[in-house]
Amino acid sequence: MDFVFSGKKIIFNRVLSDLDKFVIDFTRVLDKNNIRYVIVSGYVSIVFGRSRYTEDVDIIVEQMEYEKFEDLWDDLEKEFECMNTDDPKHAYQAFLKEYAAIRFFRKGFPFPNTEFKLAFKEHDLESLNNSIELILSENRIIISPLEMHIAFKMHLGSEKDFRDAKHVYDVFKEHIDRKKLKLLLKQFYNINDSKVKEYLSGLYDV
Amino acid sequence: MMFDLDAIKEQRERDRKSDLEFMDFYMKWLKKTPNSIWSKQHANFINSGVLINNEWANGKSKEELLKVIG
Repeated sequence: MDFVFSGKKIIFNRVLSDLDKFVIDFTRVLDKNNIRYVIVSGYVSIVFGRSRYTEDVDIIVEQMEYEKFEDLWDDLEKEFECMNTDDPKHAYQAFLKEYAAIRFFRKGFPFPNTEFKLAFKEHDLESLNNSIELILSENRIIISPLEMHIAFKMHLGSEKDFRDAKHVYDVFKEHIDRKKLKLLLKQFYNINDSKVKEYLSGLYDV
Repeated sequence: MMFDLDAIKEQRERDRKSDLEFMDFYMKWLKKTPNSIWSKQHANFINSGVLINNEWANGKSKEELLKVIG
């Protein structure tokens, strides 16, 4: 596995899957509409080679007024469809403003789909404000900071989540900010030490 | 019928440790294998999941899909 890591940017050239192409096409519409976003959770592990499938991609977008969301909806509708509702006002008021996610999928193909939600929790904003630019085979996508991804996955606490954390930790062992990760694990998420030692091997080695 | 729940629990723990060993083995392979090779296999694996899911979804309404995937 080869990649170029430079703090806030990762350049990674590889064969793209249909899941990658879906993410690239969807986020291109967000970029076109000048909407800040960050991809979080499972896809962040899968994009770096984790051997599991996912049916959805979690995308957190900045808070926005309805008018801006309507413009985005009009653009998305050319290629994508919302699973929850056909009415943008309903999507905005009944879902997004209530901090619930809406799902978009490529027309005619319900899988994969996005879980699209507005940033409102502290860790959403932290991910949005400290995101990493991933240049994936010449396509630009924005992903969550690796330390946040690992710590949040450990916090979620299912076996799948622990393994997602382990995968990204092992890929980027030499690059992650260990001090920051330890701080997030200990103070922010209050993670059980035995799990950290088992899944994030060597983190506490001197 | 009585199940030996302790034995099941022990087996599950052995399976979990074995899975983690496999993850380490996979990581070693991933790190030494050129992107063009591992990612082609990875893409085939992911694409098969997309295909199977969309075949399953074929003909289902959005309401039916939401009931299943939440």
